[in-house]
Amino acid sequence: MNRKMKTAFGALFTGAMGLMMAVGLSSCGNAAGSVDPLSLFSDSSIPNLDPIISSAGVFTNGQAFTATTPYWVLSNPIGFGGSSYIAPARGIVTSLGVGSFNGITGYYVTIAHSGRLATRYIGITPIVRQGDSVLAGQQIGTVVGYNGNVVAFQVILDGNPVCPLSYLSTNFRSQINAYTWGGGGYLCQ
Amino acid sequence: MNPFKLRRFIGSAVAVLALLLVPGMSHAAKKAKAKPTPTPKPVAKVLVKTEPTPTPSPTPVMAPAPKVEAIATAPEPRTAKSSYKLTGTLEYPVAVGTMAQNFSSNFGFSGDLYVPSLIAPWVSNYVSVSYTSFSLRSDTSSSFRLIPFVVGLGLPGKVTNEITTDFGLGIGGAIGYINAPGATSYRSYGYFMAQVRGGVEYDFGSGFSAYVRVPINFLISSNRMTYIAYAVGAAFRF
Repeated sequence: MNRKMKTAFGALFTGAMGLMMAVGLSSCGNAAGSVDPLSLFSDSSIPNLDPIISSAGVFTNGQAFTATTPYWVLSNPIGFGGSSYIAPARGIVTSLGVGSFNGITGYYVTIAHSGRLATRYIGITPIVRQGDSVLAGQQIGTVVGYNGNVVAFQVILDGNPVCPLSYLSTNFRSQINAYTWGGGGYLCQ
Repeated sequence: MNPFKLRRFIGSAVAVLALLLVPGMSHAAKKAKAKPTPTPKPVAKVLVKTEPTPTPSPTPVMAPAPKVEAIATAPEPRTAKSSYKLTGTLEYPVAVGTMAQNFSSNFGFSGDLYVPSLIAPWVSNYVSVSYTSFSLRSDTSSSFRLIPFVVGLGLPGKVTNEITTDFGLGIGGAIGYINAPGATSYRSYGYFMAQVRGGVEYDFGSGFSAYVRVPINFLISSNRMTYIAYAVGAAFRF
């Protein structure tokens, strides 16, 4: 490579450096509608699950979390009356659609939260899209149920469903304590 | 002063001067050799030949004048080895600090172009474009992906003829987004980025070399993330 070419190449490189720096600087910012993914994962607190906003007494029965049925099932024979699913904590909608989870099939939304925790809601008509970021308390869909008037949700730690009890808000815990769980059984077994 | 004494004095002075100069020259040469970075300054290689001053003989014989030969040669430019270089790298990124709880290691790769610096001859500039992916710990089917681009300053060092070191400082930006399988669109976000990296390279000759490198990358926004990319790669010089 001769000297002229090297000089030209050097000048080109210097120009490219400047251009890249400019792009780098201008790209740092909040593009329309975008949220810094790191902001969704900067909260190390445990989600305070209060997943369903509903009128009192909307659930009349439930099914306990067990090894073979690793989810909570809540049901009400008269319907959910337009109850909403809300995001229990900041996160991002990582999956959405019709799926089957441990024997339950229905329309679902999965939200990945900070750390190792995700939550999944089955029996939902979502109003969010895959890839959306959500904030704590934000509505993610309406409760419609599956198999009639039944909904289910899961708490997932490191990819495996775990008992949701220790992640519940006090408010939600007091609501569900009034219900019959698996014919008087435990919330988690 | 008679001509004989004058010649003898000049001969002795030149010999002493040569003795004083030679260690200095060799020290400079050693210093230049020890430095791995190229120095185009003409480091002199001096050969000095002196003939001993003849012992005075009773007969006034013309003493031969001492011959001093100094041959200065320019050194081989050390930039020759690190002029233009293209590299391809495989990376294993590891998030550190508070963000490590969110992201597990996945994979990455990068390409660099090194050019001789216009700033100083003993450094090089590089431009690096990468692709890095981390799995989300909360949903391992999804990932946090980054496309960093960095311009930097490389400071090469020489260990042996085949083994060199490379220390780099870079700045630039990165585009980040969450990749959720099946999502129809992704929303990206821009970060500032700073990079510090060090590595060792082995030269196989013919312009080819292999290296290991450890870049430490700092993503900077209102939220921060640091990750280390353990990297191996190959380079081609031209």
